[in-house]
Amino acid sequence: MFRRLSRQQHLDFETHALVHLDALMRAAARLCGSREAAEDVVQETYLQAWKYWRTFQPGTNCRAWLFRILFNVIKKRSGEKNADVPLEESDYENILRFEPAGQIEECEVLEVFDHLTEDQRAVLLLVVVEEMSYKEAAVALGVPIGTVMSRLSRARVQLRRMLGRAHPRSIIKAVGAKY
Amino acid sequence: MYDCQKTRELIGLYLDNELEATSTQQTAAHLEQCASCRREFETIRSQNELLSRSIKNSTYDTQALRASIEAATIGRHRSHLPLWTLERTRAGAMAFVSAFVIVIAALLYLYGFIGASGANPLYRAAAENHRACIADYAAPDWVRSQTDIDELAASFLEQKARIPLMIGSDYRLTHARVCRLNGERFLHLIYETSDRREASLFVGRWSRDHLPAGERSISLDGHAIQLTLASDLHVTSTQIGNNLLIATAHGDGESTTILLSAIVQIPA
Repeated sequence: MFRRLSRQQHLDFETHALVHLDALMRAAARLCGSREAAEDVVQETYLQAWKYWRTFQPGTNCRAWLFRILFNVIKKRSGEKNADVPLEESDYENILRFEPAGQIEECEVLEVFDHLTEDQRAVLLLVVVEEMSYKEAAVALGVPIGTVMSRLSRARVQLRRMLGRAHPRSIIKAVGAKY
Repeated sequence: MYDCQKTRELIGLYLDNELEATSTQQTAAHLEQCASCRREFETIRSQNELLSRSIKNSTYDTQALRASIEAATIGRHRSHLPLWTLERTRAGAMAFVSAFVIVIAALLYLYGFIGASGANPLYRAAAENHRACIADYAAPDWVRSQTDIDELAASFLEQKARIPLMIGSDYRLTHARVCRLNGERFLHLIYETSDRREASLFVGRWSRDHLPAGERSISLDGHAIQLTLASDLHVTSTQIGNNLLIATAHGDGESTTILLSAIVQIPA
């Protein structure tokens, strides 16, 4: 029931693990859809990390390890509910039909992002938002690097397709590019 | 230098700094002289920036969450005392009580157990009761068989109930009786390990109004306790003075919730 950890291991947990709380919360919120659910999975992530903290090797990638736990927690929960079903073409049309013409706003990007598959959202969160390397993302996702690359490529295409359909060329405007 | 087709295949990797030096140079060289590929590059880059900015702008106040996590993990470290982790108990090993029940447990590690000044009155009462009961094993009102304990629990809770036989993997239910904490009746369950460490669970009846279904926080003696869901158990912990309270709760439909609280009293 109980286990004892060294003082150094506790300091390491604070130094190496808790510093990623905001990033985990940010990712969880986008993947879970609500702050409450995100807090639940992040807390469970840290409880599990704590449970196995004695196995953590200083110098290894704690952030990727934490994200991997996070994704496992989310997958377990989503598996208990409904499978993540990708949207069909008609669904995209329905989503985009009501968007105003013109420049894409952040909330619109998020709305489109939230309709990507869980795998696509996860890889975008890791590589694009958290700026992980493919290798680090592969550890976090528990998949080969090749899978990271293919998922990322599909995610980018899908995101662009969904955004571009409603707002041709407006993505560029939104960030002030010249083209 | 790469052609357009090759460049577009590599634009994503180029943006993510995943290309080797030679490929990076050749891709950059092509982008420099090809307006069409450069537009493609800028589109993807802009999409990345917009997405990243949008998500990073969604900030969350994680102060309470951090405090909750720290209390459940390193929080105890700050007391410079032996640190313990209450591992998540599987639902199958948990008791299921068909009415609304709150269980307050005092986990008192033998050598670390002393009364603490300024402790929450209920915690202190639980701790003192635990200490008194450990020294009173021979009292006639203890029941010791599983059947007798089940009957006592059903009588106390006024309905059939399954009391947890184990806490974690090594604390086994050995005996029980009814006691009073601060004037309120509790079912006192004692668990023992093979090396004679004891833990007490105090099971009290609680009004359903105190923890409505779906409520995420509870207040125990005026202290708010944040709950979070860990698989099928809500797990939380908080340090109040020199008492560490670890609570787990199982939600079952609309009406049944069990709270299992472990209080580790930390010597001052």
